[in-house]
Amino acid sequence: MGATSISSEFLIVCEGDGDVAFFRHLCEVRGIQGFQAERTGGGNAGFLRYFKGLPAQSGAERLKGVVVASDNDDTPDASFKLIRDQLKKAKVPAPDNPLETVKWAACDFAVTVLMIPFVNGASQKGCLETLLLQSVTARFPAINQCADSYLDCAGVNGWANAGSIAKMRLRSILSAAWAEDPYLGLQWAMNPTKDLIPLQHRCFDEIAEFLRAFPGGIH
Amino acid sequence: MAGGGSPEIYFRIRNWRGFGDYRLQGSRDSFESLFRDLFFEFDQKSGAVIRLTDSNIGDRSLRIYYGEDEPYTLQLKGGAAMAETSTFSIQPLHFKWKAKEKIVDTKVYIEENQLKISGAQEVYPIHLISPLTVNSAFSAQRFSELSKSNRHQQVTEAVRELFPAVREITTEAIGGDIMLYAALDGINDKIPVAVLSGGMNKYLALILSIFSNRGGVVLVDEIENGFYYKFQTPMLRSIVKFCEQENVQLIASTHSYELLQSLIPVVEEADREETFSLLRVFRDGNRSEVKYIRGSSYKAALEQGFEVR
Repeated sequence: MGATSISSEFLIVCEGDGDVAFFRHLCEVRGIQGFQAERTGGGNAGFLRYFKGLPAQSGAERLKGVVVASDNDDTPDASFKLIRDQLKKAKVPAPDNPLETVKWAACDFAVTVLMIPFVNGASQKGCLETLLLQSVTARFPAINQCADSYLDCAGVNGWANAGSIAKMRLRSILSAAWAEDPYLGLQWAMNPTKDLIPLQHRCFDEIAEFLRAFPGGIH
Repeated sequence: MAGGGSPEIYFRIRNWRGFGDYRLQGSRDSFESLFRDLFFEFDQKSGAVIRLTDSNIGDRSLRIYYGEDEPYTLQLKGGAAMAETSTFSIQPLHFKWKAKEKIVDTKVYIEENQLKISGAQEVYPIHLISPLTVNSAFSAQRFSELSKSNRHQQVTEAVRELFPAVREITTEAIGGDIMLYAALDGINDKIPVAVLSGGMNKYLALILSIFSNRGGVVLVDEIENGFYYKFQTPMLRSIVKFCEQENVQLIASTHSYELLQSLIPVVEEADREETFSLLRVFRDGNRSEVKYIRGSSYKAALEQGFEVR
């Protein structure tokens, strides 16, 4: 069995295990309380089934707010629309824009959509790894220089998908930095005790502040 | 109980829970002991109130109390041994239902050595299938009733669907009792159904309840018990099919995630997402709540691997 019961009033629903680990550890490191992070397990197309099933999940009745987190990738508007359409089909509150919070009388919880990355509230091209790279390259500048050469040499910089390039660079740096297990999965690399991805980095400030303010913004 | 309209429900629940027959002795305590379990901390003087809210009727309540202003003395028939205790006074027990503007006030009392109920509404036809109610004598009785109206053959066919080795089911007199017997492939003599698998006996009891309760309700306690896991989906498919055929509403309880998963293919078929619902019961402090979950939501939740119990 995958998902657990709902035990918090606020839920972050993301795409995969790496995202879940990111939000759990970010909340932990930044002292943000009251959130539970779960994954759809179906990428950015998995939100429909997740939200259709959510009312049946044990503990769902205690939910007050849900943050849906997804990647902008190369087409922020289309990526947001994909999420919004799924929310509509699942008959849960569907905001018109990212970072807006919507509450319906017919639904117990409010919903907001967090499209990653964003700067000053405006969506940017990229994905969670785009943000993580900022933190990781600051932590391992020397390995990052080697990664520059490696990506150039391997032709990765010519890839069409910027998200894939970011993931390749992140994977390379993390593998080089963790001799104990170069295959270390992102969800494990996120653990602060490994000191691989500092979650106090300023690139995460805006997400952290949004989450901190979210419960107070629900009326 | 609060959703009904007759104290008969209480006696039925007692029976379902295996309390068995009641025998009144010549005392007030004997009468009141029948109802003692209804009251919080067994305090019969304070009475009991059950309240519930549903989305259809709204608020309902049931108040249970002894009518203090109407005690009466009763002389029970008995021999010399009962002489000292054969006269006693009791107060009738009231069951007072309130739903919207409607009030149903009923009374349970003793008359002519019998428990009687007055003012009660007709009880909706409900059958319960539980380990305490599945027994061969009861099944034989139901089978016999169906046989009188020539409907027993559909029971045999229903059993054969899942247990093809069963050729025929009949009632036989054994020592003055009626028992169900089965003719099986490869065995010359018929054998008692009671010695066949517990799963088959439970399935048979369920099918008999459905066929003998057209337009009613069948309750099944822990429906998964006794059924092999690979057998659950075909068994559920068959039960649901016969419920639809007989216009019977099936309400089954379960603690089994495996059973809930086995049900998904049945819910997916024939647009049953709209006719199936999951009622999840949970506690919130001292309150119990029942949450209604649509079939489509149930299916998505199970596919998502959510804990729904």
